[in-house]
Amino acid sequence: MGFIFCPLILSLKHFRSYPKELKVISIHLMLIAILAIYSASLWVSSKNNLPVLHIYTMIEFSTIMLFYQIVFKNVIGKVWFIVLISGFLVFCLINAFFIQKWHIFNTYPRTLESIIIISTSLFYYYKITKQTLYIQIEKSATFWINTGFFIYFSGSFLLFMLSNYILPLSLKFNMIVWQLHAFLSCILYSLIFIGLWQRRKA
Amino acid sequence: MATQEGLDVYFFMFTGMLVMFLLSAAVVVLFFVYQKKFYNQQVQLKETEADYQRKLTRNNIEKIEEERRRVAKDLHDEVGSIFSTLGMKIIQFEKKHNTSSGSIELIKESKLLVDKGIMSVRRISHNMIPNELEMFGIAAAIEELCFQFEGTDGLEVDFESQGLDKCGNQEIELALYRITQELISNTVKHAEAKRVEIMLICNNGEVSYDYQDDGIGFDHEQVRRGLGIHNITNRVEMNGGTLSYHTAQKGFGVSIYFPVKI
Repeated sequence: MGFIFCPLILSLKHFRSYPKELKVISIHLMLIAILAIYSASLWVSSKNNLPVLHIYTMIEFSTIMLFYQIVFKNVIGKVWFIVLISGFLVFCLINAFFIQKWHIFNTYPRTLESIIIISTSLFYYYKITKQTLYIQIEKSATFWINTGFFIYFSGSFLLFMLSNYILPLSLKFNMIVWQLHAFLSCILYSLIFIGLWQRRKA
Repeated sequence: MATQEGLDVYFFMFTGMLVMFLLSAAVVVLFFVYQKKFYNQQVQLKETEADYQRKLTRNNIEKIEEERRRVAKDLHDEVGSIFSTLGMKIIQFEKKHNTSSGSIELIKESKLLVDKGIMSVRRISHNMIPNELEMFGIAAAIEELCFQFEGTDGLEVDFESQGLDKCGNQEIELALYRITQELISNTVKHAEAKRVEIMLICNNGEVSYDYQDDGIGFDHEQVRRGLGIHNITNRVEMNGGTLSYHTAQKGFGVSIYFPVKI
């Protein structure tokens, strides 16, 4: 969890100078950090923190999609993203109230979220390869952030899909698998940090 | 304890996550390599284009200089000698024939016109190819140029030079001469200046040149777009030099530097 604070501090320091898409990423990091702290506090006081995960999924998906909406503003209309975000939020709420209730791991929204974000990040790569004017991609903040989302959601996809299934099997193995997820989170926030750092240098 | 089925699920889960992670990382690496390759190709293409452009400019300037040399030579040798012969013929005519006062006046006028013609031919051919540059070097050539412009619209031209024993090569000297020509004529045409200062320093093959007038100055964008300035930039760059313009409310200046050629 601590890894999130590196890009968060950097983004808060340079927030005013950021373009829109990085401002959205800064807000994303801030909200995620608040929820992570709250979730950890619930865990410390031995309370079920899975309801926070439902909220977390909704906020995470919405902010990431707002980021892509700005990135693809010349390619995909804003209305499509609004429909996508609204549809996903409705699905999350229906899931939380009627299917996988608040105290159960929300595998369906997490899996759907992963599929949508992986597809969107792949679309970003496709768009870049279609450009006629090539840029030094390693200097683009969007490239690093997109790569972070792509690697994190691809690596975690199976875990999000099967977490309810593996939960009762073995606590020890559960820990190992979730440690792998923590490693992917570290990669995600490191890549976001690199992206924001590139922007700072520019 | 986990059952065999449970272990299989974890194995599937763990390796599945690992494989997905590696695959996604591979996609990113491939994309990055692809992108980098095209970026490098694009940079190379631009460099080739710039190189071609430089060669083209160099060729153009060389052709212009060659043509100037040819025209100047023809003008001096052919038209100049025709004028000289004509002058001699007029003198012969004057000696052989007893002429009335009316025709003396006509002969005088003709001689005057012939002299003017000779002077014009010399001046034009000299402007095209400065003899001083080839015979006495860059300092004498610029000195002569300054002398020609001195007094035009009250302009005072001050030229100083140091260490001219080893001052670049012929191409650099010609470039500096043409640049000075262009700059002074720009100052006379546009700057409303009263004073021009030119400084040329040659130090072990390094050439440093500074030009400064006290005129009305230039707009920076205008400086970049002007054809004369474009020619100056080309002449400096094709000889491996660097230049910077100093534009201000009062005055316009250029600093040029040619490093030692290894």
